[in-house]
Amino acid sequence: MNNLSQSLSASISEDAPNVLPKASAWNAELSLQFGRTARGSVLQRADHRGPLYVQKAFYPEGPDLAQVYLLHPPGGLVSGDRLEITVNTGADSHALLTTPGAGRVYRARPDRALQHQINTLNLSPGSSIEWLPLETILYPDACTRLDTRVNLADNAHFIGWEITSLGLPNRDLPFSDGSLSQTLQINRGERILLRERLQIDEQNRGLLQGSAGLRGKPVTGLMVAGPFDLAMDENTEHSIEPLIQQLRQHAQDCGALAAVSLTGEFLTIRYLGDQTDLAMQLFVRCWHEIRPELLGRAGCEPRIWAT
Amino acid sequence: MAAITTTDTALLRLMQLSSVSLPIGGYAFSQGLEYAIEAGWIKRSDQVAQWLEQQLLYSVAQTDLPILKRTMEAMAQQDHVALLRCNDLALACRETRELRLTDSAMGEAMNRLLVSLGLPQPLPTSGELSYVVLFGIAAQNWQIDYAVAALGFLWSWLENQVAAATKLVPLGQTQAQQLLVELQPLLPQAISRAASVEEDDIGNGLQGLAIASAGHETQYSRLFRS
Repeated sequence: MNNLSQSLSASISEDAPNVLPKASAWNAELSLQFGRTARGSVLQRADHRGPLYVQKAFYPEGPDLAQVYLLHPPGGLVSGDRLEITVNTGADSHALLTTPGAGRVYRARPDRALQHQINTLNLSPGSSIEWLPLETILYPDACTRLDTRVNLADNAHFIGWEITSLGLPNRDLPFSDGSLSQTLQINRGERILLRERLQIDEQNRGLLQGSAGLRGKPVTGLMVAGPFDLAMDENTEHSIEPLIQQLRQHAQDCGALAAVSLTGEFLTIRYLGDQTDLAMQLFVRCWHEIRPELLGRAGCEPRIWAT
Repeated sequence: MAAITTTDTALLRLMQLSSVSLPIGGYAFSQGLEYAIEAGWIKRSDQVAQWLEQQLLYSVAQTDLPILKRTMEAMAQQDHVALLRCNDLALACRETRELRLTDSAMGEAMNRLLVSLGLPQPLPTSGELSYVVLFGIAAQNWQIDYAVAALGFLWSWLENQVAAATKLVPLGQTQAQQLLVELQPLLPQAISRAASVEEDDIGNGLQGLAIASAGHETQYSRLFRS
């Protein structure tokens, strides 16, 4: 499927640069509603438009938490595509979302129509979302905006990550003329708790190579987990510090630049290196440590990660 | 050249606000520079210049300045909701515990200063306060224009960063002055970049700097608080 859309994208950019029919842009939407019932966390609604859907929820760790695979058969975004994913969790329901393969943002057409993905996660009180997609690969000269917004109610928890490959390092193709605006924002009510952005365009292309920026590394990753109740830090028995120590050890052992910090109520883990699989490996290890502390459950990896 | 008169109080107040003698402790924060030098990423004066240029044009111009501008507008309109949003956003954009501490520790000190100078400060003091926002509140109180306030903000940032580099690399006093001369032209450039940043686009992380700053949290021997 990925090869198909790859070749489709190639023929689009090479053969018919200016006169593409509107139909070539795939606007897809998916809206999921999870709710807590007597049977556990149930996927109550899944509405979709365009090639973006889920099949059914899996329950490898019992009825309390639904694992769902987001399927996007085109495999990536071409110019003008817009992908909109909305996930709502009802009170006390728990969902884990992942993807079966890498997301791709292909080389832009000459019109450079935006390749836009919008993820909105709305969490009711007492619920949790784990947003654990595989990496997003940005082809050279892609023109994209990737927005993820997490809206937390009180006592709702979020673990998520973004792994981004700038260009195709395995094929020695750098991000060159591409542009990217990537935002992860977490709100609670009207208050902004965390905003993380990566913007690469004509004005700041220097950060790709810069010593303070991406240091010439093609793969960048960010994992965020929280909120942690920092009042508990007053009580040394429940301090978050031992967890941070463990995460730092994983960061140190990951074979690339990586670091752990606590910003406000959120743990952040960063990766900067050459390989998306190393970033994934680091984040999965950290996820195993964080999950029991934040969500009170042991790590149970989605089966699709093993394939 | 525009005449500057001895009665130009806004200019004098800008100088006071941007002075390294302002008791807000700006000298105590290297913002990741200490780790970058320890790690061998920065060894020479020209590498300091590159580091600061990236920080200035990619991060400060995209985060601090647009927030400063919106803070001053909110303060002028007495829009306290917008002011609180500026404060939240500034803190939310800090990538590490110590970068956040840099902003909030200086913010808290600036708040004490405003109170002791009898200047109005409408933000609730129960939570963390952002230095950038408090700087904007002070500047608006003193009727300093945004463009010059921004220049003063950048200058005091630059002076602190160069002073940190002078201690850490180390550099000679003359080299430090050369560095200031060399980097000065970037300040107006940062202000002009900041002018086009939309609200949703505020913030831009520098992954290398964030990793350096997080690394500083466990650095064995350190002079600076960030």
